[in-house]
Amino acid sequence: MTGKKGVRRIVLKTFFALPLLLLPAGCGGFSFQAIGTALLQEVGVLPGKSVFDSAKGLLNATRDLTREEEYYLGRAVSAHILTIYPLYEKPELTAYVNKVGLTVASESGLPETFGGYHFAVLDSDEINAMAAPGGFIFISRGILELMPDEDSLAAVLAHEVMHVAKKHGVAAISQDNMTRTLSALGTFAGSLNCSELIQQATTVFGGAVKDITDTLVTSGYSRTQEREADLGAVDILYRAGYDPYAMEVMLQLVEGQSGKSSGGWFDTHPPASERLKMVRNYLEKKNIPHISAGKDKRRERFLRHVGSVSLAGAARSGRSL
Amino acid sequence: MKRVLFFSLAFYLILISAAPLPAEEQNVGGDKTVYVEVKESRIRAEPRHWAKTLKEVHFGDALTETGREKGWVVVKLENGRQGYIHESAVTTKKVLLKGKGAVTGSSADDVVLAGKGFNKEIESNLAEKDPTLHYKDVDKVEKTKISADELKKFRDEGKLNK
Repeated sequence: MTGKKGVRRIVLKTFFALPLLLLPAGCGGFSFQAIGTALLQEVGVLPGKSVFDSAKGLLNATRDLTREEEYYLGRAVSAHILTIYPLYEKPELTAYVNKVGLTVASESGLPETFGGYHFAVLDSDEINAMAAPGGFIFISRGILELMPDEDSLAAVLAHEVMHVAKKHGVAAISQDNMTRTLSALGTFAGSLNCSELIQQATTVFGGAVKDITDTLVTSGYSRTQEREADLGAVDILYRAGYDPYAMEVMLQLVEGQSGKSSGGWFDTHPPASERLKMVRNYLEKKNIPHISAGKDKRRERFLRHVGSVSLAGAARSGRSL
Repeated sequence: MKRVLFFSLAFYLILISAAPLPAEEQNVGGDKTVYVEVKESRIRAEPRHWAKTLKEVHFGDALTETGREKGWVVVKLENGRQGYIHESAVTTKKVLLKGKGAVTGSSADDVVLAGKGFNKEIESNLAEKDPTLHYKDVDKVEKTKISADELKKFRDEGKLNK
């Protein structure tokens, strides 16, 4: 930085940055203070990274969201999911599913999320379960009806908790939307119109939400991510005191439905046979023992809560149990 | 040009000196400060999720860390007692809540700015743009709360974590 041009650059950027530092944190989507700091850092008034790096750190939608942002993303993805699948509103059943879910979540690498974990049942015959960022986890009535006991429910919920803990949903945001986020910053630098900023941020937010929802409902995660969720779930089950072989049982049951059911996990997950083989190898290789203590008691309470779901589902679909 | 530079720097110094400092805790006796990074959490008597709650803490609260034990942060309470909070609930970055001062002297990577980026305001705008979104159902999903005591009873009955 030399000569008059350099001095002018410092003066202009300092003038732009200073008022931003004094504004409250955030005009809607973006923090003026942070951008002000970034600009000052770039011109050397404040120590730190270049404006591009700092801005990228603050606004990188795919790799560096705050826990709070993840929570709002998760709420938006959930609001989309619930337009497709209605809630199955049975408070006692929901409380039971939450107790199982919170038990496995506490044994994951991320037991606490910004707004906490929340589990809900979807009124759908599909064999399905999904996890939105921040800890919103949905399980279909169809997959519940397939389960023989609480340990199988714990297996499916542990798999979904792993997707949250590993931030697979956030990673589903496309590179395109990340670029749009950065370009929104560029627009911001030239305009201080608050309402425009909020509109831009909403568009970027909407794009990120769509990417995640499409992944959960239509395209599914990568095989690597599913493997991570399956094997991580086995470890969670063991640590929580559930039988880790419940994951094997659950995948066998899903495989048994292959060709009979469609949608849900059959569209978004690798074939159950492939997952089953991988889980069996893992259980054997790590010499993981069965856990049978309390299993009967757990099965009993599962049937007490979920039995009514099976009856309701059978009545609705006209089949006999 | 020199006059402009002089006045701009003078203006800068006045503003910086007038700006309130961030809610930062100084290290005392070598202890570190960690900040609560979730809406609400609990400091527990033992490093277990179902252990007795000693204190409820909220987003942005500063805690004095005295050590770490297998995924739990050991913190010192005001009464000198020791408690535990899970490390997934805290961050070593400063959490700056809205209206709590500027980010002066900090790298953007060293702070968590509450309410930045995707926030309640953006959510409201999104809901307004697309009224078909089922945010009311999301609120219902969030309403189900299980207390630590209920969870402990549930674990005990199911012989979990024995």
